[in-house]
Amino acid sequence: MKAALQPSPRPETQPVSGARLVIEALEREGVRHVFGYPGGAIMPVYDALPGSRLQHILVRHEQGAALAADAYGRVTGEPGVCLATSGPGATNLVTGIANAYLDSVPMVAITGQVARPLMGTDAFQEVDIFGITLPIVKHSYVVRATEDIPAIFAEAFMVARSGRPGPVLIDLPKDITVQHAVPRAFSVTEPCMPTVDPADMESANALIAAARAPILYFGGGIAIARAEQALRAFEARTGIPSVATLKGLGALPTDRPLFLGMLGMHGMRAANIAIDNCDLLICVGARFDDRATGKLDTFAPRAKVIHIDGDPAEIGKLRRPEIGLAGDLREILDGLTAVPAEAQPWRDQCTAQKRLWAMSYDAPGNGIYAPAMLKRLSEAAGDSAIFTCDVGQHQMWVAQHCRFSRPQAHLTSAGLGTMGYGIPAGIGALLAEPEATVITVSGDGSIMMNIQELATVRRYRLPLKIVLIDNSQLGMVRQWQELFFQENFSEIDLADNPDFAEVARSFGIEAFTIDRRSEVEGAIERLLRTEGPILCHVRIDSRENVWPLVPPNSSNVEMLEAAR
Amino acid sequence: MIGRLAIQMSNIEGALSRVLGLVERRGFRLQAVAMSPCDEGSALTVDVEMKDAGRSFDVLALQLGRLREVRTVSFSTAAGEAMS
Repeated sequence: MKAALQPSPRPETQPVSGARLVIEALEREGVRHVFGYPGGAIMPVYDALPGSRLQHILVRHEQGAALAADAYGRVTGEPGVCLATSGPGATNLVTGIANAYLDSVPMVAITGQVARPLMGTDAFQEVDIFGITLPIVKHSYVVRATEDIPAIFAEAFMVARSGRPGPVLIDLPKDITVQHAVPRAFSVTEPCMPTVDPADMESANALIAAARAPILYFGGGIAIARAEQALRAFEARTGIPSVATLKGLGALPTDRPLFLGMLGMHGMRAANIAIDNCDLLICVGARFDDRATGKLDTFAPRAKVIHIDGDPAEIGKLRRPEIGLAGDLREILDGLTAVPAEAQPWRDQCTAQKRLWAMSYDAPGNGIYAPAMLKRLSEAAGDSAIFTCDVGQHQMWVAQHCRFSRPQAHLTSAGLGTMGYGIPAGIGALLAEPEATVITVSGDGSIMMNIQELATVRRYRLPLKIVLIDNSQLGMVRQWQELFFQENFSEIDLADNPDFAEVARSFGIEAFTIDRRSEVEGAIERLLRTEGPILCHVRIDSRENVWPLVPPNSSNVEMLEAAR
Repeated sequence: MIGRLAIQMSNIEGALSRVLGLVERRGFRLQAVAMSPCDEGSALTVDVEMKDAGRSFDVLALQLGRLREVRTVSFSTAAGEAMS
């Protein structure tokens, strides 16, 4: 693998404290926001923070810091930074680090650690966070010498953002941050993308030219590679119908005529049918995840596969392709110039299926039908809005019914499925893109996982618009118990929820509750015109399910539907 | 299926844990491990058994290759197949 060298910055000639070197290293990387929570072992860094160019965002739980940094990284493409003390501060970051790892998000997580002489002695607030996070980081460091701080930070940021991005942990023993040192000179070695064999490109073009029923299946790798324009050009040039993973939504505008929707467990039937019938599957920046494929050996059973990814290790991991192309997605997509010559009947078939299986919004009754409300909200908010989600039924409704014209408009915990992601992600998104209309859609289960971050929303006067869909149940679990566990409802009742509007108001956030369909338009108008933070508490029918649904261990074409 | 991984790596903090942990998490059982100093780093030989027939040594080698401390990976099987 080739390497490019990044020279070290102008070296310090006088000894500087480790904490000061940390702050300078972050400033040098262009960091503007740090999400964190102070505590004993990290106090020297907090001592060096005032007067720096960094804005520290004080969250109310370290998990909120890591998840906000995750969203910040998704929107900016640069590593989001979170900061916590040793012990419980560090372990509270773990879910957020894992979230970033599973979704390949650039992040630098900095943890305080007990002083080096105390490490390994079970000291107060000592945990081996380096060891705990080994399986969920792209790389990690324990800083063993103050003079190494600038080099380690520069390398950590490069690792976090390069290639397939991911979280990098830096564990900082307290004595390292207190001691003074002259930094050592360093250079950073940047890995280069693998190059594609021209013969493989030629073979891929030949497969595309000969295909009669091709499908473009794209995922989060498009956003990582910032390859949206190349994808759109490829789709326009070839006229190949397409489907997206949860993370891929928005890479291609969801209103494109040949876009069939999300595939997989809660995907559109037209998308899953097309996959089942295609003769060529062009997978770009996706990884044959089980939520997308259903029963893997029945996925695209008649198709040859071209798998394109920035990460060579993804190619052949779950489905062996006829052609694997690892490298820069933009270059590869631009180089796929062939056009399927005889695909018009297939296009017609796909668009007919899309019309046939289009979502219906005419639910009976006067209660609020969440899919219809989210669709209307998305239309009213416009293409520049950013939606952040929690995890559960509402997450799938957002994916199914909202419109997206860029991947950064849909921030969702796809790989890890982290309940509690929504509000911290809204905070991160608003700091990354202050002019955007940022809407967090949450559920009554999820919001309680990080409800303390309403205090952060209030503290920084962030104009976050929260739509809390409340069915007084853990809805997705209830749905599965109904369908697959013989209605043995176990521990899903949340009827004793607090009055969420009152809770929001107690945090100083404007809030209101609706439960009738006739209130929806007014609520959306109020949400979008309010300048400060606001929460709309939406009560819905507790029996509502997410449709369609592929049962576990089933083929994607065995989807269950609501009665039509 | 049983195979032998030959890994050249920088012996930075956590390198051995990271490499062996990845091998186990990706569906392989460790059978024997040997490590020795080599060229400002370490040479690691790991005998592994595939726990799940759906896994692949090729993919494991690529996954190991993503680790920052790993310089080269090659594997061979009892049948004599090899790749790097």
